[in-house]
Amino acid sequence: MSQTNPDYTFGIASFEIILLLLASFLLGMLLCWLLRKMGLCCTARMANGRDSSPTTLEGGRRPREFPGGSTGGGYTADINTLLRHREGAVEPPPHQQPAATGASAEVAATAASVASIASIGGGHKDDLKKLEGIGPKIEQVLNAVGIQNFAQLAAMTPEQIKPILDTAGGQFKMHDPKSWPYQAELAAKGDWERLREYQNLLISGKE
Amino acid sequence: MFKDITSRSDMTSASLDVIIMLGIAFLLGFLFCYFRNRSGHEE
Repeated sequence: MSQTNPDYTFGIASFEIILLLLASFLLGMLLCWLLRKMGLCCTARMANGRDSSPTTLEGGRRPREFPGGSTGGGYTADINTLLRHREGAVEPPPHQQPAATGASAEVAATAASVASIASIGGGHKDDLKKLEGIGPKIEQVLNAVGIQNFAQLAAMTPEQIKPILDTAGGQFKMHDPKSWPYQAELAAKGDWERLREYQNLLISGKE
Repeated sequence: MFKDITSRSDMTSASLDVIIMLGIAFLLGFLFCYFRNRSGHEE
């Protein structure tokens, strides 16, 4: 094209180029996003690549279920090892009150479980806000019932935590504590890298 | 290179330069997303 178009000014050309560059940039991001969604790349991989999916743990306990699954997004945490070598964790008492019904049974069971974990961690207080899903308000709620550190939270099950949130008020009912015990367990062990990767998985699962 | 492109009558005559620029922009976009995901969302 040797013919010069008078309407095609420097400004228009610059604008076109910038638009094209922006479009290319976004296209690159889109490709990365698609590959990540397909699980082909761009996901944070665990150093320990073993895929453990045990049916039962020592003592006949069943492993916890984790939101996002153990294989989705390339996440393969060795949960069995973590639970087996857990230190200072007390097995929460089973629900042994068939006569009690409804909310009173739940509250009683929660109170019993909180009482059983009171001594864990030796009164040490951790920043529970480091866990994904726990903000300042929820931390206050948990502290109020005696859950002060990661080890205590790790010793509980989501089913034991949920009534605490329900009784704290309507604004906490929407929160799902499913991942909190496992996050707390990682935090209690100081495995911050794995915790961060797990939290990334939780965050990406919400998108 | 930018002046060389914009001084031309249209974009078609500067296709190679433009393709290189777009390729680099595409790569930058991909890498931006890639490293953003790798480093994770610190909260």
